[in-house]
Amino acid sequence: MIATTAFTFDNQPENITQCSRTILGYLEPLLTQNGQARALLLRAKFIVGELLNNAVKHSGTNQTQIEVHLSDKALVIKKIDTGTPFNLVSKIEKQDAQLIVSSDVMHLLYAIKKDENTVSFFCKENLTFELDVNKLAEHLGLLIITKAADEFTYHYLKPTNVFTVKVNLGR
Amino acid sequence: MINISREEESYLLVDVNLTEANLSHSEQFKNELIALLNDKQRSIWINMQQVTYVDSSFLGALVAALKHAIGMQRDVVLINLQKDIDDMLKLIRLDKVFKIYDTEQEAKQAIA
Repeated sequence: MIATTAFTFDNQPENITQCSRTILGYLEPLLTQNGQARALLLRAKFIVGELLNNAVKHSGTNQTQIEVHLSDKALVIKKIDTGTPFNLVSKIEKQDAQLIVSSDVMHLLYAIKKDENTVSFFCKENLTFELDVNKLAEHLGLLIITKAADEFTYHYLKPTNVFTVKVNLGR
Repeated sequence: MINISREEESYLLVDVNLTEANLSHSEQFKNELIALLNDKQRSIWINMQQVTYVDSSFLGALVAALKHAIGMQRDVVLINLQKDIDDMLKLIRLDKVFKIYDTEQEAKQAIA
């Protein structure tokens, strides 16, 4: 099965809930048809919600496109805009070089340069942390997407920003 | 957004009157929680029964309130989480940070 649909979001915080519901309302019957469990829809819900948050907080434009692509192997959700670029692509100079995007006592979130225009996010957990509440991060959006996804990348080719989130089916 | 359900000697039980707890509510939620902590000078136990979804900004608000509470030697306790919320907290390991209970009674037995 292959299905692709695009949704437009106006980057207004009061419309996050409605836009998220529209996208998930589209996905739910497809994922159910596909025999996928509740867990997959929940991951999609977390990812869509955080992509819309990211659009409101960081895009600097009044329009974002969310593309949803479902195949037999994966669900791919893309956030596309022509707003403010995320400076990670320019900040990491060499291919395969890494940069810590955020860190706290429990997680390190990295970006690794995949090619001239693309970085990929990954996360390492600190399994032996001593809890110090004051060292907890309060900005958690990229971390949530990274942990809910199987692959999460950011691509910038002037003037277009594309976040691509892939969730493999049958994990 | 936050309603005081009951005031006990050591804690305040509050209800969150939201279903989708997201960016459009998080700043107000954080401000209300911190104002309650300052005003009542006791821990806050948050009944999340009505909440079906939380996003990163709302979780960030909870973490900010917890930091404030710990600084006052108080706590922020979460009660009656729906499964999706519990799964979100586990995904980013905040279940290891907050005290989480199914019911107020269970919280009382564990904390009191």
